[in-house]
This record gives sequence, structure tokens and C-alpha cells, in this order.
Amino acid sequence: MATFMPLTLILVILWSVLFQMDIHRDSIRVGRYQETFKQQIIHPLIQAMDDQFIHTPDHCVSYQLVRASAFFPTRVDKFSGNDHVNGQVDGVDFQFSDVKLLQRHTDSKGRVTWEKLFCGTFFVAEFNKHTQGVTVIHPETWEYGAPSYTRYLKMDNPEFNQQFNVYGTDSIEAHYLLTHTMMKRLMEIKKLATEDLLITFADGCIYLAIDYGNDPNEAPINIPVSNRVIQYIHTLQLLVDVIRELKLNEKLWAKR
Amino acid sequence: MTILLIISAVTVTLIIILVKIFNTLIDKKNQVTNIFSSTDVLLKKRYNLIPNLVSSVSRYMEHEKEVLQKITELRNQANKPDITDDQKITLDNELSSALGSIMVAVENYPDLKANENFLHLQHILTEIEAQISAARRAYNQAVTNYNNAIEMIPTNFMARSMGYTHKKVFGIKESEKQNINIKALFNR
Repeated sequence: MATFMPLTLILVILWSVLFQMDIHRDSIRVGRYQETFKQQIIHPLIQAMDDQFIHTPDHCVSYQLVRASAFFPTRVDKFSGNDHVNGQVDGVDFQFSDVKLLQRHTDSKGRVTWEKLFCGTFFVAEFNKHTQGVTVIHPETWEYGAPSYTRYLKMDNPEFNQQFNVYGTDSIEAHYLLTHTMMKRLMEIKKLATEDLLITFADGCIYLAIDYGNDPNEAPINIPVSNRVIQYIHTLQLLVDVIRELKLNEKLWAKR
Repeated sequence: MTILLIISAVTVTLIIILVKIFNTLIDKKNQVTNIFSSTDVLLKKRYNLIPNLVSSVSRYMEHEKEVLQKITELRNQANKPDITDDQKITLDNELSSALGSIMVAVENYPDLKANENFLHLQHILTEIEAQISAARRAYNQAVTNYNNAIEMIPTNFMARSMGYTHKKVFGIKESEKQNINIKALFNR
């Protein structure tokens, strides 16, 4: 369950190398290439992780969920996404997909440009504690700020404060969610992720976003497919690790 | 004219700085007050559980009568009106310690550990203890921010003139920093 079978993994990577060679030889159009990449690489990868996971290539998480995460207090003018996956790990319901958020800008001459706010993986899972407010955890480098209804909360762990900025509507709730053990686990998760991590606790869910700056499931022809496959395996494993590391399956009595 | 302008600019800047310092101090003091009020609500929730807890365990616990009496007494003191915040903190520390010793003693009473009513109470208490633990940490952090502000330059000058004094934090045991786990205590 939810761990790669080594043989499947080797076959998928081998197939991805052959696939790359095949693509260059036949000069298939890019669109067709992406579609084939998803069908023949991404889909089997997800199935190899857990055959109960449901992969829907042309769907994504809802925009309401993205807004509920409070990651982006700025205006979002265009929302798109794909490669929706949903399932259960250790009894915890989760879903994730790639999402892309753009903001429209018009200059004085009427020219329109699109600014990429976020492009990466967006993940939602049930959280094991009740929450009434919103607690947002940003990496130090996050440039879009926090929602206006939250305030900066200094936690009682200096190392955690160095790595993350916490904003929330309720200081007690933030401390209730971010126990010393939880802060330690989040720092461990941060070590596993190669990109910036955004985390929000709201509506009894944990929201997590990894900003890759590009669609992790698209495969540009100039990048070896095996690199993309390895990146995707890393993301999948990270998301499963989030559920296990944060012990989301260990529900408090109040939520049983 | 230029001198007048410079003096005006310096005065305006000084006023802005003083207003900022004043607002920061007020904000930190209010933050402490707000968190303490929420903590107080949680402590009261726990005090309300105590009569049930005492009645559930007293039939079984023959050798802990004194501790149970002390718990009841502490609850009565905590429920008195007009006790100061510092007294509340002291009472909470004493009550936590007394409850802790009861939880450890439960191990000696297998019949009590199997009692449905007691188990239900234990579950509620576990959740409230987790919330109180979070509230204590949040309060201590707010108090630390406040105490730093009233001791550091330049906010300390205004804090002194506003009559702000040092506030006491909740005592947090080392075991609590690791997450309170009453269930584990019961199963020890």
C-alpha cells in the first residue's frame, strides 16, 4: 500500500527513457507528447503507488479549496489545473492536483501581461483536530503576504520561527495545532521537500502547496523524461509522507 | 524658515514614533489580556469537570482521599470571584500537579480503569488538557513579547510612564513541552 514496488518503478523509468528516444525520433507534436506522457508515465506511477488512488488527468482541486487555503491573499484572475488524484492513506482522505494561478496586469498602453502567482502541487487532507479559525504557515521567502484578517504569531520554538512565518486568527488555536512535536515534524517535512512549502490549517483540513514554478506533470522535450519522473515520484512520496509524518490518522478523542 | 521646517519635521517624526510605541504597547497588553481570558474559559471548563471526576474516582481510590479533597478545595478557591490573574496561575499549577498525581494513582485501581463513565471523562479531560496546554504556551508567548517590550529601549520609557509592570508566566513542566498525554499516564 502506497509504496512503490521496485520492479514497477524500474519498468516505469526504463519506459520513460525509451519514450524520450521514441519522441525525438518520431517528432510527435508537443500536445500529443504531453498527453502520452501522462497516460503512459504519470498514470502508471500513481497506480504503482496505490492501485486504489483515482487519477483524473483533466480535473483539478476546486478553486474554493484553493481560496480556503488562504495561501493567496492577492487577486487571482485565472485558475487552471490538472492531474487530480484522490484516495486514502492510513484511513485519511486526501486529494491533490497541479494548479496554476495567474494575475492579469494591464499597462498604461493597454497591453496585457499575466503574472504567474503559483504553479505547482496543491494538496488537501483531513486534519485530526477541530479548527475554527485559520492558521497559515509560510516559508521565510514567501512574497505574497498573509490574509489581512490574520496576525503574525511568534511560536515558542526559535528554530521553527527561523524557518517559517506563522499567521493566524487565534493564537491559542495555532499553539493547539502546532504542538512542539508537530513543529518538529513540519521541519522534517521541509527538509524532504526541495521547494518552498506552504501549509494552512482551516475547516478541519490541512492544505499544503509546493511551488515548483512550472507544471510538474508536463514534460518539456528539452528535459529528460526520467528527471521529470523522478521529480514526480519525489512529490508523490512527499505527500504520502506528510500524512504519515504528521500522523494525521491519529485522531484526537474529540474528532472520533 | 528652514529651521522652522526642520523643527516641525522632527516634531512630527517624534510624534509618529511615540504614537507607534504607544500603540505597540497597548496591542501587546491587549493580546495578553485576550489570551488570558480564553485560557480562563478553558480552565473553567476543566474546573467544571472536577466534581464528576472526584465522584467517579472517590469510590475506588481509598488512599488518595487527601489529594481529592485538595483538588476540590483548589477548585473552590479558583471559582471565587475577584481572584487575581497571578493567583489563578498559581492555582492552575497546583491543580495540574494534584490531577497529575491522581492520574498516576489510577494504575493501582483496575476496576476504575475499566469504568465506562470514567473512560468517557478521561477522553474529555485529555482534549481539555491539550487545549489548556496550548493556551498556556500562547499566553506565555504573549507575556514574553509584552515583558520584552516593557524592558527594552525605547519602549521601556513609555511603558514605565503608562504604569505597565512585569507579568507572570504559567509554569510549564518539561513533560508538558513534549505534549500532555493523559491517556499515557492512565496506562502507565
